[in-house]
Amino acid sequence: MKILKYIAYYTKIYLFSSESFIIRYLFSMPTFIVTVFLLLFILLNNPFSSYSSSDTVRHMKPVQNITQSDVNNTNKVFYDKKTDRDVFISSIEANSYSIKRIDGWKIKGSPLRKKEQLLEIEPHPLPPMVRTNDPTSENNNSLLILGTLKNKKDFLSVIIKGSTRSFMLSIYTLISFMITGLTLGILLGYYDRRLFKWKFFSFRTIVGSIQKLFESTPLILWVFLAVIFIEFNFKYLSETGRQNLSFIMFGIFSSPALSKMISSKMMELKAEEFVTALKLQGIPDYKIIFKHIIKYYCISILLLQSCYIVAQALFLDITLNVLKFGFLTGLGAKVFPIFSGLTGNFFHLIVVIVVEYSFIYTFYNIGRFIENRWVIKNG
Amino acid sequence: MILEPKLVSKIFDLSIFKDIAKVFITLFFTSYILYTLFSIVPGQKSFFTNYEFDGWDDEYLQPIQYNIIFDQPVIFKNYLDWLKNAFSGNFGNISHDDYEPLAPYMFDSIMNSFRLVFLGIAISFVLSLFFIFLYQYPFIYKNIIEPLISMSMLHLLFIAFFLFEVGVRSGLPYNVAVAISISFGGGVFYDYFIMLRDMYEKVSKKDYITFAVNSGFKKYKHILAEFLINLITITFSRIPILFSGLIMLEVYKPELEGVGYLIWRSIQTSGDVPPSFHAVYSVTIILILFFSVLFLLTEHIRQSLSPKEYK
Repeated sequence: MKILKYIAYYTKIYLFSSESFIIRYLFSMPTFIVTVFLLLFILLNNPFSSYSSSDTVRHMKPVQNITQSDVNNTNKVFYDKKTDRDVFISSIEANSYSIKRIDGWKIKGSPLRKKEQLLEIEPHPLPPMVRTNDPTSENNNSLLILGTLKNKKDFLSVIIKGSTRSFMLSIYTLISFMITGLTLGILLGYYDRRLFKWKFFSFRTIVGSIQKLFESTPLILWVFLAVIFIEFNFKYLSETGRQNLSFIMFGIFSSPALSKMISSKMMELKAEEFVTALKLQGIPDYKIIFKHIIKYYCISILLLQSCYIVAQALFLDITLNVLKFGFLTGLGAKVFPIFSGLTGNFFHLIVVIVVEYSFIYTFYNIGRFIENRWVIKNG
Repeated sequence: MILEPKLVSKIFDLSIFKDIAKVFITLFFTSYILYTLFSIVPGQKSFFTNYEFDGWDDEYLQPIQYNIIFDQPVIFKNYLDWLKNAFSGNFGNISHDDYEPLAPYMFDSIMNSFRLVFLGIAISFVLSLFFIFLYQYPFIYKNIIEPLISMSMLHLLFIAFFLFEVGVRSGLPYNVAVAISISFGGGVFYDYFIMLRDMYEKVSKKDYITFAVNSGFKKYKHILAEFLINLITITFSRIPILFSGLIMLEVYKPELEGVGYLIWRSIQTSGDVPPSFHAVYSVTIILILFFSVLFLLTEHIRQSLSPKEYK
């Protein structure tokens, strides 16, 4: 009965109170717009039409196999970006066109339209939702809600797989962030006077200076250095191991903000009467710290900072992919090629933006909810 | 008054020199550790020999490559050489296949990045003023302003890239898209908006301001003092974050010619040419030094201007 009461109480708080982030999220205009957009796309895409997969196959045709009839039958002509890069580049060079810069397979400023050689056919503005009659596909006749990418992979499963990996990475970040931030915060805030001190040098000044250095320098620069160092020095580790290590380092570099907040809160509370009373009763320090100070006074800081760091870590994966560090398994590796037009079209881009924005808006609402509920309550 | 001579002397009192000395000492040790870490990267011979390819003996190289040891005297000697050269403005070549001096190129790149950062700050401030005007309409606040602010709140670097792509694809001029994306992505827009909202809601109702008004002083003079403190603190503390967002855009769009692209191109390997870590290292140290001093100055200015201290 007690458990049911708890469940009812928290359901009321989290779902039905006016401050609930779920309510705020569901009934806001952006969510409404996003829903309408998705419905429109689904309706326009017409999942029950006889949209043949032969179009998809033709869509993926290598440059050298495209015939004149393909050219005549299509409305839209592009250069082939994915299938054969070498053929593509050599075909341009053979025709003495100038290549200014190849960046993410886009060629800027070069007169490259030569239909017979540079072609990509897009018979329908949207990808097929139901893929049928494709003998080469393993997912033959299966329902692909978000359609397929240009490389014939189911878009929804690509997003889910990438998100799972990114989420794992953000958990590693969170763990290292919490351990470093809490340890330094407690040491600097609670055990300050008991730590090493010699004339002008104390533990506090040394750690404080290093923290200031970390805080004042762009975080991405530290991440850059860490990634470079790990990539070059830990070659014996697997790709996954190196990724994990990079994200653990990211958590450590982000921790000064948390440790500063925790230490200032600890210093503020150390002078309070209840801490003195607890000490006089003979309660050990770790119990005072964890059961009294952190549980009742620092939980809002921890929750809020956790929200931020998880969001930051989720998007760091994408950042590193934009910076071309080549992390291959996270969400970033799936999202960035879609942005640069490699694997997806405009529909995929919209879906990615919706997914990313939903993440951001959810974290924003969770953050605001925690701020309103705990920070105000505990001062 | 805010800028009384007494106050100016207070900002630049002796404690600032003590703090600057602390920054330099910390930077010395940190840069030495970074130098050592970069030096032990396999295949990075050039770092030891003042930016030349050959000339490193295997008898020195091997123990260093296979053991992470900070007391290698040769690394420390090379580090001191690097410091000596850096003080005379010699940071070596741009890369191992580009023999132009790094220093002018590096400072140009840093200046280009700062131009964009300040453009982002200015645009954020103007936008937040406009949004504060709209703040009085609850419907617009809930459905338009808040969702837009949410993107800026988390200081996500990805937002810069994300907005840039959307902006450019929807026909925004290139420079405007860059400025708007870094102001949203760096989080400075959110901070300005919250600051202005607090000015509007909380600061004007504070006890000391009510007391000052009742004593016959002008209200806005006191609000302005607090506004300036917050403005300086927010602006300077957000510059590193804006800079981070910009690094990503600069890598994505090299035509911006910023420091991000310089770092990125320095870590690339092409053929037999190894990455130019000396360039990455030099840029990092210069930026750390700049931001540390900036951070310190901001703290001193904030402390000196704060009403408690002032009284």
